[in-house]
Amino acid sequence: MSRDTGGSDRLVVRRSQLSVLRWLFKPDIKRMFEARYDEYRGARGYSRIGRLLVGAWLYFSYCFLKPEIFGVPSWRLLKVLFPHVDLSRPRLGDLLRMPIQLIWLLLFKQVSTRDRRRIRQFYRLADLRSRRVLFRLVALTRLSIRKLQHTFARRENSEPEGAEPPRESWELAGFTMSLLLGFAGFLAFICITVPFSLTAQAGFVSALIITALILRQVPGRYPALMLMMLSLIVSFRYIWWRVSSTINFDDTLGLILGIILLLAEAYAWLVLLLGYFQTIWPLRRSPEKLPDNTDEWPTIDLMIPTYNEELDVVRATVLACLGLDWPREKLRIHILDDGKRDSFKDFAAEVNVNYIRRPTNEHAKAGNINHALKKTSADYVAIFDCDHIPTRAFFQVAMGWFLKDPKLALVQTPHHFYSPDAFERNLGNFRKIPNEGTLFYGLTQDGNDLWNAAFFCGSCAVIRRDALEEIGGIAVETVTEDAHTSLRLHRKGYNSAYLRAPVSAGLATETLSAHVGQRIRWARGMAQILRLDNPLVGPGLNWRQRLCYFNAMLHFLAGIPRLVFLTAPLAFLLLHTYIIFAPAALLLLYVLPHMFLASVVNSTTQGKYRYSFWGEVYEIVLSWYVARPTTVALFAPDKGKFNVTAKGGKVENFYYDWVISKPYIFLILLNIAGIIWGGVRIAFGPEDEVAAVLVNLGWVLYNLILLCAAVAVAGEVKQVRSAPRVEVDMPASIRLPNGRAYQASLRDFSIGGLRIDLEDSSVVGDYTRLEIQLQRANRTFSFPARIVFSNNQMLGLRLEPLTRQQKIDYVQCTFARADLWVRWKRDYDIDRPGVSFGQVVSAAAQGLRISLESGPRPLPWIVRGISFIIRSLRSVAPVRVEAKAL
Amino acid sequence: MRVVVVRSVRGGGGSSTVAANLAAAMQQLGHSCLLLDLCQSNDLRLHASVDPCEPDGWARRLVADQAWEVAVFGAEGSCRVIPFGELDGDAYERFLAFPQEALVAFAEQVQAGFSPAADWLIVDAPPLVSQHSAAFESMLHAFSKSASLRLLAVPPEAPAYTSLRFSTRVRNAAADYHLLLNRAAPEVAINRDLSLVFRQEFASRMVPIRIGADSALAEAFASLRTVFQYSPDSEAAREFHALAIWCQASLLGERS
Repeated sequence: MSRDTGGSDRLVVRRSQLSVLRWLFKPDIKRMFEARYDEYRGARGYSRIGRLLVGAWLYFSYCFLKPEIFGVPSWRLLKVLFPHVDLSRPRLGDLLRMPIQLIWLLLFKQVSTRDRRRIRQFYRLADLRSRRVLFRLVALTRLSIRKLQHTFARRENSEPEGAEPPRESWELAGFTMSLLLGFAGFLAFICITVPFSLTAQAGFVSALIITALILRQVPGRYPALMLMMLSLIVSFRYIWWRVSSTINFDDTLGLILGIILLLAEAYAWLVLLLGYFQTIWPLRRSPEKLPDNTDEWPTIDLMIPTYNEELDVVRATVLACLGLDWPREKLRIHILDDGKRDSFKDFAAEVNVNYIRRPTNEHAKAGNINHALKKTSADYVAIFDCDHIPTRAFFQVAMGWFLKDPKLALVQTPHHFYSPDAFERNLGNFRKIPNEGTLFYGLTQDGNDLWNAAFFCGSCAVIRRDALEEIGGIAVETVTEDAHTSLRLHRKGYNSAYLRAPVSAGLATETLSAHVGQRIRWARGMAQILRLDNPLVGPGLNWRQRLCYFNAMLHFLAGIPRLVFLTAPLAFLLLHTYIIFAPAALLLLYVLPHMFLASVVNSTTQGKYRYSFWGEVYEIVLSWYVARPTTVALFAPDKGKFNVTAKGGKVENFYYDWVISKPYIFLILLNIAGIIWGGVRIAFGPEDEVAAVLVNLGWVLYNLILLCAAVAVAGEVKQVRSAPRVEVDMPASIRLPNGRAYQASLRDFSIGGLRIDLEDSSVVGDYTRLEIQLQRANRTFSFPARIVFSNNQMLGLRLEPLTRQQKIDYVQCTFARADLWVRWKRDYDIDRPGVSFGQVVSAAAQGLRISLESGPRPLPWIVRGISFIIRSLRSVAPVRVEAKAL
Repeated sequence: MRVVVVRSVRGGGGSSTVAANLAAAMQQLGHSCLLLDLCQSNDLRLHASVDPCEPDGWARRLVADQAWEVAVFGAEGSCRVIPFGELDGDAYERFLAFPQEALVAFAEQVQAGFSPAADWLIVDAPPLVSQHSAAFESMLHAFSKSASLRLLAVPPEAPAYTSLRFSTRVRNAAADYHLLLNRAAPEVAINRDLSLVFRQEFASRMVPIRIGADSALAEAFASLRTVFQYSPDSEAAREFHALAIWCQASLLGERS
């Protein structure tokens, strides 16, 4: 219908505009002109000059040009040659644009898209070829490593498989082994401590770096281990050199600042070391099969603690829990409501789950669960935050190990988030770059698991009740009750397990301030544990568990060292004091290999879970805020309260979180001052300082990029819906009231509605209601829905009121699909450090722009002016043309 | 040539719809298909765009003592069909009295193939509950014996279930058939529940694909076409496509 009315409108216009043609041409030629005239019409219609211009051109081309030039109908030529110029409404800039384009067309051969692809393919081929050369180079290495792997594999196969990680192998080492180790240790000691001249050091590190680059090409875990060794040697050497020969004793200020920097570096070095230890051999535990007879399956109390979250958030979780694949009579679901809300009580009654309310609110979530423990009695306790939706197979995956290992007290599964966290949303890289948690749940916990030190993360976990009761319930002394609880379990000699399967999915924190708040709580809690129940001392743990816990806690103390790194080069640039007392070249020869090898190792081992440089951005955002609470908690561990993380809200408009970014703006200004002053010193300062200034300027620049990227996170992007949507691509079908069914694909869903793609949505016609049919495990479920909006390929649907069973089925077909999140996880590529740095730089540019735009008065004008100039310049630039002969 | 026999438990179970659309889906996958109608109702040809007034068919030819090969209909790009043929009262009497050997010979001839050769022969056979002469039964047996796949179109409705469950004769006859749920309507509670019951009780013999209730099928039939021609983006088209792929896959490794 709409198309017809549009056509008749145009007809009217055409008659009035082209009436002159009626006198000049025969009707069919006139029609032809009209059609051509129509094609030149821009989005805003013709201006007077445009009408004249296009008319003249059409007439000219009709009279004087041959029908086809360059393989294009000649009347279309202007459109083809100047695709960026709207001829129906020419502007002044076009006077510049057209000659530039013309010159460009005359001078350069145009490449069609197909050719371009060929060129790209050619590059790829070249890339492959160079890799092949490299491959030949490393073939020998590869072969020898494979041999090594074979011998190791034989040893590994002889080891018993089971819940106990193969830690006996260390004790089994015989005399020859210890002799070898001693010899290797001696060699390493020499490598680390012998002072080198400049050239010797250069030769040494370049040999190591070349070895590392070759090793990096070899896949597998043993090459990664060797890389770690190389990195350790270089890093040890660096720290040794720093301690032994770079401290400035001549100048008090330099000495103090130098020692602060050295301490920060020592911290970073320790974290690196412990990180290697933690991730040396991720266990990759697979689920254990349950007995066939369901009578042997244990009973479970599933607890969903909630305090102030919306009912909608909790509803999805409870419905998903009701659909869990576990014998009905052996699964008891409890909503632990600390908010004392009657709406929750009614909902619990409506869906027939248990509702527990306690009279007081002490100890927040831990206290809530402990209260519920007294009122329940099943063998196992599963804990789900109210926004974590378990998939149907959760217990099937998680429970097997409990039956196999009677000392197992905890099974933790990853927290997978289906909505973007503050970083991902504000930087617009959701599902493109692994988020902050991916490293922890993808690698670190798996690494912990090898040392029997996987710890409890507060949700998506199952705990053995008698073990939990033995330690007096969830720990209440600190604000991170989860890690503390598992620490106590380990102290009592219980085991823990980590299963990397994403068998649940949850909501990420909404805003940056909420995210920062959450991390502050974690950091404070970890610092508290470090003081109150230090894992390095006390009974029950083995040294490997101690190290793992210690590293987890150490990790959260990163605030102050990170701030030190961000300001350290300024000490030289602004305060003019040598905090690293060494020549610039030697410093570079020590520090660059240390950083380079560390990042090579991290990129190799963490490639799929954390991209290079992004870890530093994440850390910088938190550093300022984490610094104070951790320090306070270290000195006064009893202070601090539990603050709940807000989730599931919506950000109304774009806004810039000034409060959060204030310290970083300050740091950026400081760094810019450093750069300016550094430039001044290069220009006017003494000759012999130039190298040192340049090194520090490079450092400042790097810091500046990271800071700007961190600031980009503070620009909060508007979030429209309060119920977050999950983007998917799944087959579905719709059924219209006339009995017709059509294939569709599900694009996204939320708890209340869905969006589907249809081949042709006009088939829906005038209907406003339909049935949406979703499949799960080969069964089809049908849900009534109302059409909210539609365009030619897409339908937006809102679900009609559903029955209880239908609600459960809906959640089962969408959020709780066992296969959904697994497929999702595979989307990430392996890390490419160069690309990753590019992403950080572009995020930094974005951050700079955002913060300037929302800055005080003249700044936004300047930014707008600059971006206007860039845009206009870019619009003048020539455009590639699609034509055969050009 | 691979033979697929499609039947239903009772009349109106949708066997001719399944046969015709399965053949169309096979054809889309690049196999040439031959449809054979063994039902006296002579419906199958209507799915394949044969003129409703056309009385010709194999039974009619056999009764008239003519070559049945003449009664093959086909259009460019769609599959060929051998209709049953219209039999008036007298001819029907003679068909019933037709000797067993002649009918079995017909079955063998069809399966022996003719040119141009077809990759698949899809046979629409009469419902399990209907009674036939001994001669006709032995012809059915000849087809179903050599069939590499036997499909039973079952609507998830109570009559089909009771026949399958409680009638010994039907149960025995259906013993080596795969069950294909046809006209499944998940929005209807009884239909959904019976689907589950079928899946539970005949778990080993269920075809993993089900054909949903889609009026596109009825409309396609009324316009003398398959659903692929009538409404290629309907859900039914997708389901039949999946069914064809399943048929292919389940016969993988078997020699044709």
